[in-house]
Amino acid sequence: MPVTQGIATTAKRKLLGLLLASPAFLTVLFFAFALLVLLQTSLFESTGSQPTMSTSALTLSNYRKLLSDPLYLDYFLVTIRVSVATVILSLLLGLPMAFWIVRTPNRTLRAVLIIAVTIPFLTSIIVRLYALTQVLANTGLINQLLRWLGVIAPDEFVPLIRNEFGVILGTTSFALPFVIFMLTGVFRRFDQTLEEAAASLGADELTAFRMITLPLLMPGIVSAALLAFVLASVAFSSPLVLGGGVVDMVANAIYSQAVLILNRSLAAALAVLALMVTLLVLYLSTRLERGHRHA
Amino acid sequence: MHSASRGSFFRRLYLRVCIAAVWVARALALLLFFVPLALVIWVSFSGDAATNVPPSSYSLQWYRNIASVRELYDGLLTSLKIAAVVVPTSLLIGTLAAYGQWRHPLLSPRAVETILSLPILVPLVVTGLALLNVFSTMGLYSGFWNITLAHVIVTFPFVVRFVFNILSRYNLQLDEAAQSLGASPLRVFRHVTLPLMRPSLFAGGLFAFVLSFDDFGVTIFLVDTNTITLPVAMYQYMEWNLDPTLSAMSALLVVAAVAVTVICERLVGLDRFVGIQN
Repeated sequence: MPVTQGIATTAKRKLLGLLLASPAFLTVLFFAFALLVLLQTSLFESTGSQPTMSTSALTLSNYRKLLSDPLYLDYFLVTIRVSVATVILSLLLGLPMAFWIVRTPNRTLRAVLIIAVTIPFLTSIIVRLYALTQVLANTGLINQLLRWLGVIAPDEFVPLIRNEFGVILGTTSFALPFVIFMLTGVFRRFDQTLEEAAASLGADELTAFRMITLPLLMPGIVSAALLAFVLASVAFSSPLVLGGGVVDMVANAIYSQAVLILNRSLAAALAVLALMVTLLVLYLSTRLERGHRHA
Repeated sequence: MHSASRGSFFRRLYLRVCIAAVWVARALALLLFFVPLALVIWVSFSGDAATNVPPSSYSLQWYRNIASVRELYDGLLTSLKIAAVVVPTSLLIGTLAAYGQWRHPLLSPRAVETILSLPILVPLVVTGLALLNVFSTMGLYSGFWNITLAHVIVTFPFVVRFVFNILSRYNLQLDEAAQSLGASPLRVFRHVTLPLMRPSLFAGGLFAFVLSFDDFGVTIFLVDTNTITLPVAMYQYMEWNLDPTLSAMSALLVVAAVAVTVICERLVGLDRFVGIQN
């Protein structure tokens, strides 16, 4: 009797747990359903803004078009260039920042630095991009400074916006806080006594860093790089605001196909490709992270 | 001997250059973050009709102008209204899920967290398009409720994470002690567990607010003529206008972000908020 009662209470408890979690599970279920509809949409010929699935047959033509049309190839190339540049820049700027935050003995400085990275993190991306346009525009801060210094003539300007350079600054500014926070997490777990051991064996700072610190941190650095890649590769607002219609990335193509050109099927196919790449990169990143933790 | 000392000279020079490069990178990172924000605040006090750097005169007229630019003012109200529904909803379903699955797990916590994280692994534009598709096939055309549901979908997983995070350090014996003293499960939750979860709930709620209030990538797919959120309104405004009203609006939002950051640091500690410490 007590055994069955025990089973009954366990079952009841499980049911209670499920009941409490059901709103969240239903929300995710609805979202998963939306993704399935997206996949389905991508497999039909487009018939305007309302994809009607019943009339036409399953087809891969949207994907074929994406992978063969030079126009889309161009979106992919721009996206890859911007993403790779963002990864490099955000590591070059992020690694020294993260080291600073973790290694400074001054607690106040550390708190200030964390606040300094959190403020842009919590500031609306549209505000940050609008602010960047004022720095980079033809009559913006940098060009005005160059004019004032006499480096360029009053009617000249250095094009810093409406090109890939401007977009890369936007995506880097967006990805950098994520990269810094991820790297500080990785560095915190690092055992600093290894460096001291290397120093006691006669290695100078640089050798200890190159031979001990860097190899041990590598998996963490690679997963930060993958995160930056994921964030940049689906960037939408940076090319929109700083690219000025000249630099369009995959996310911009998804938006314009879906909302402006009303070819939802093609937009869906692009979105499915973007989603697959993102999930693949994130999967690689978690595998690295897990391996690192066990090591 | 001679060559050894020369070698160490170059080695020291190399070390110096490396250290200098590290400081240059740190300065560039901080400049990239703060020069734009400082500039936008400076320009917001401009007296000129267009955004000039440097402003030729100063005034507060663009701050006064915010209230008279209908699209920005309405955008602000819309964003606040949406966040006012999104934050409590996300907190409720996120906390119930995390608590329920922690107390009476059906699957492993890791599996639950992975399943409930699905919405935040998907790129925002993909989420926006997927929801636009599904809402229009289901015949749901209320911009306000569509955006609200979308924001709940992309924010509640963070609440789950924050709450799971604190519960994993929580001692279940506290619950058992309270129960053994005769408290009902509901009373235990209300008087023991809930107060201990408060910092997580605060962080989760704030995170949900910021994500909802700032979201652009999902929302731009779902706006309609009656429901335009502030970030979308700001984007549309900058496409057609050159006056510093947007700088004034931006300056206010930067100040709000600074305030939120400082409040977080004081109340929960940013270490926890940004996930540096687990």
